[in-house]
Amino acid sequence: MKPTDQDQDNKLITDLRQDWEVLEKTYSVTPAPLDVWESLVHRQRQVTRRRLWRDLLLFWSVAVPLVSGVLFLGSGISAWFWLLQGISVIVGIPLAINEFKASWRKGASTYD
Amino acid sequence: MPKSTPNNSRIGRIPPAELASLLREHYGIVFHYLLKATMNRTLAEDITQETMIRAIEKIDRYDGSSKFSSWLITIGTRLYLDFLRKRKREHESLKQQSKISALQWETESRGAEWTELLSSLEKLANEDRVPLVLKHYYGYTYEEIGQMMSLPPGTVKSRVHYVIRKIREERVKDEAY
Repeated sequence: MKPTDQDQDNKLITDLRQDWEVLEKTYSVTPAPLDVWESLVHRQRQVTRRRLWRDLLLFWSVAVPLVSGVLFLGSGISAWFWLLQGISVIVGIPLAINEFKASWRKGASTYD
Repeated sequence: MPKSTPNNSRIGRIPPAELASLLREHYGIVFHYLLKATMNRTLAEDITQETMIRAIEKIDRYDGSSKFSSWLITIGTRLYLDFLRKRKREHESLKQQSKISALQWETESRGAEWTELLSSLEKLANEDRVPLVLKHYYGYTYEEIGQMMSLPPGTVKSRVHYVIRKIREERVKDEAY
């Protein structure tokens, strides 16, 4: 009797599972000792914390000139407003370029 | 599959030592999954390491509603799919082709048999291998795979069926020669 489509699919899936199991056994893994993992977790948490602080700093460095600029304009001190805008541009643009460059470098090197 | 999962009451604030131990325990599971999905040892190792780093960063988002291994496999799958999207350029796919035969060489040099079926798996589009492995090796449902790959369950189902048919056709062709 000719096997049905379903029979053929089931046979193929069984064979696939066997081959995958062989592949797993061929490439057995021995993870690094626990202390290596602990130091990785520790280091990575430090990096994450540092990144959070940097993001917070960036947020405030944009927010403060914006809010105080509006306040200066509102209270009629336009000279201070323009001074603040000027400083923000001078400091902000190189900072933003630096950020873009860093994230681009990270993206490009992730799997290289 | 996974041997342990973090205690529900402590999820989100897992102590570093416990997290380190969990990641160590699941490293092999993630690596073996990615090896089957990528058919490339070096890439599987790279993405496994990246998965572990992402897991440390995002552990606060793990709510315990799924197994820890499933959560890691989801991260690994998304990283791999991101990688594939970034490397769609032609020269990269050529590079991939040459790396793929490296797996055959390495597998055989380790004394294991390289079957026609493994060759057929290699020939599949990278995105097609992922749902096949998740469905027929790990036993995830189409809904779960859909969530992992950000695809509707119906698309996953038809993709898995299409891949099985494709491998079967390949097999028939090989047997004919």
